[in-house]
Amino acid sequence: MNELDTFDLNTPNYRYGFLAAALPRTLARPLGARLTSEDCRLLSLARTFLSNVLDGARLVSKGETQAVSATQAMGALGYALGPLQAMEQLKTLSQDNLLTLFGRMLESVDLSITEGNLAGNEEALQIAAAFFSYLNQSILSTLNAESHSSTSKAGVT
Amino acid sequence: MPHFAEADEVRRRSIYLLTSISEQLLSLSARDYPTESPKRFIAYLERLVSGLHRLLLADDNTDTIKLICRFVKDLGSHVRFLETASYPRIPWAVIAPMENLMTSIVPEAEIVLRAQWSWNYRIRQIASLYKEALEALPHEYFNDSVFAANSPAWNVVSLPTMDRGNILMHVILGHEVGHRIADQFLSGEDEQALQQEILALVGDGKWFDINIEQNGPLFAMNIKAALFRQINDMRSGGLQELISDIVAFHLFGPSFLFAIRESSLDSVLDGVPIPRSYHPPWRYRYRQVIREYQRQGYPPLLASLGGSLILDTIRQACLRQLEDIVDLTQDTTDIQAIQGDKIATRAYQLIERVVPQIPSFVESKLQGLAFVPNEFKVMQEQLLSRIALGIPPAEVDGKVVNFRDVILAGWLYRISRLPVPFSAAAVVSVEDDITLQRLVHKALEYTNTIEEYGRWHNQEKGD
Repeated sequence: MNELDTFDLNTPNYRYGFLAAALPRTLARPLGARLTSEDCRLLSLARTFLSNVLDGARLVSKGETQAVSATQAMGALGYALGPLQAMEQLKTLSQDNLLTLFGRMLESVDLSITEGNLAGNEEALQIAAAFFSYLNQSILSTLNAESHSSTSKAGVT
Repeated sequence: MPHFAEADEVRRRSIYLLTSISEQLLSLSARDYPTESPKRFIAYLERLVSGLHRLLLADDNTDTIKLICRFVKDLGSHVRFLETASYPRIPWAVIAPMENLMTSIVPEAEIVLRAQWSWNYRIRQIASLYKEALEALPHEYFNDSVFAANSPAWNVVSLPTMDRGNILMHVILGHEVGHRIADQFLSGEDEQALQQEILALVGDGKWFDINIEQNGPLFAMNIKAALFRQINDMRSGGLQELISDIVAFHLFGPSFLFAIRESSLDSVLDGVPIPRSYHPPWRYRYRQVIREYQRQGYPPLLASLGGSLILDTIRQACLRQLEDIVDLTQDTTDIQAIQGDKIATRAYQLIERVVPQIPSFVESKLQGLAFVPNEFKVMQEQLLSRIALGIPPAEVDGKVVNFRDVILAGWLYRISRLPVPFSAAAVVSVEDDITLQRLVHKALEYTNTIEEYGRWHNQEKGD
């Protein structure tokens, strides 16, 4: 009696979609660029997302059960794996290198929030910008497909 | 020829759609509704539309504007909630007691009750969906709507138009509100232990795909993550339904058992859960509810009804119906079907471990709200006798009864398939069912009015 409808299924697409749409501009700026309070709020949402992806990846690849919520961790990992497989420079990454890369992105985002300007590893921030850009495109195409077929699955399978 | 940037074009399109929604909301605000809630919900949506409009004018990010445009299209479809929330689509006698019951369980909730053409009951926690969807947008545009401090938790409660007059069936809403208690159960579980259990069930994933390692590390991770997610979702989705069933049984007693049986008469009893619809097989659900029916001591209560031709007939018919359901649950083809599915068999190993904890958890959460069959024999015999005479079953010994007793009397009478009013010679038809619903409806109108008056009178005295 509680079947999910299109809006239920699209809700996480909007949540991550709006985040992924806004972040590339913020992350692609040079190191040291000043962050507004709204930038910091967005980065803190990005930190939660990246942290969930890391928890999900550790859970599956290492059997580490650090996630506060398996549902959120696996949901975020599900969103992340699509763009990662689509990004040419990342699709052959080993699981360990994937964990390292996301760890570096997370550290840099965390440091940027603390310092109030973009800080940390520049390459990791650039990859994060590209990753969120891919994620945004992937979500837009999912929403587009959803609008043409009410039975197609939103997000990632 | 002028060239317009893509962002401008999508912005213009989005603003057009928002304007259209605003016009529809304005027209809907002029309608009559059974309660004030729909009008307050319209005002909330108007503020949300206004916030989106202002954000569109301020934002120049094409990707964000495209997503807003898509969101606006979804938002536009929510206008239908209000189109069908007005008279005469809503069986209003059932609204007040249902709203009271729901807000007792979810105190911060505000409810819009609406009928929908598709046959389904559901509660949408629409305010929390908006919050989740718009989380990454600047909150300053939604501080008077979605992100307003103390904003009510808007819930849109849908019931099927085809059954709107079928008051007895609406006890299924007890199941829908039960999902909030199921949320509490699931959020209180030991996450780490659960993750270990699911991981052990996923294992190396070769039970699902023997070639899992052959397409690169990310592919293997993707498959294992999907297996983990499916087992986890099927487990939590299944528990959501089972816990909600037990909540509904606690709220409505045997009425709920009769209602889920009737609502699933056309369904397959042993359908294995599938992604996006993780409902356990009906037979599995009946089994849990029947256990609760037996545990709460209803069989001897029902067996106590009697003393007249009508009451004896009702007792025999109801006990027979319940025995039929018990017989259905003794067949284990649902469990065999689950065991034959690679994902379901794993998810249900975990569900089985938790099922025994559900009744005591629900009891602890519904203190004071559960249906108590006080003076069952006296009360039901008098209510049933009134129905048999064609009188609304609203009072016993001159005292107004609880709406759940009224509904139970309606169900017991319906199960017996006796004519209304009773006549030994009459042939029962659909008309009798409709008359019965009208009597129950009238009884609920009466009990509501008396209760409302009692509350008003007490307030006046207090002042």
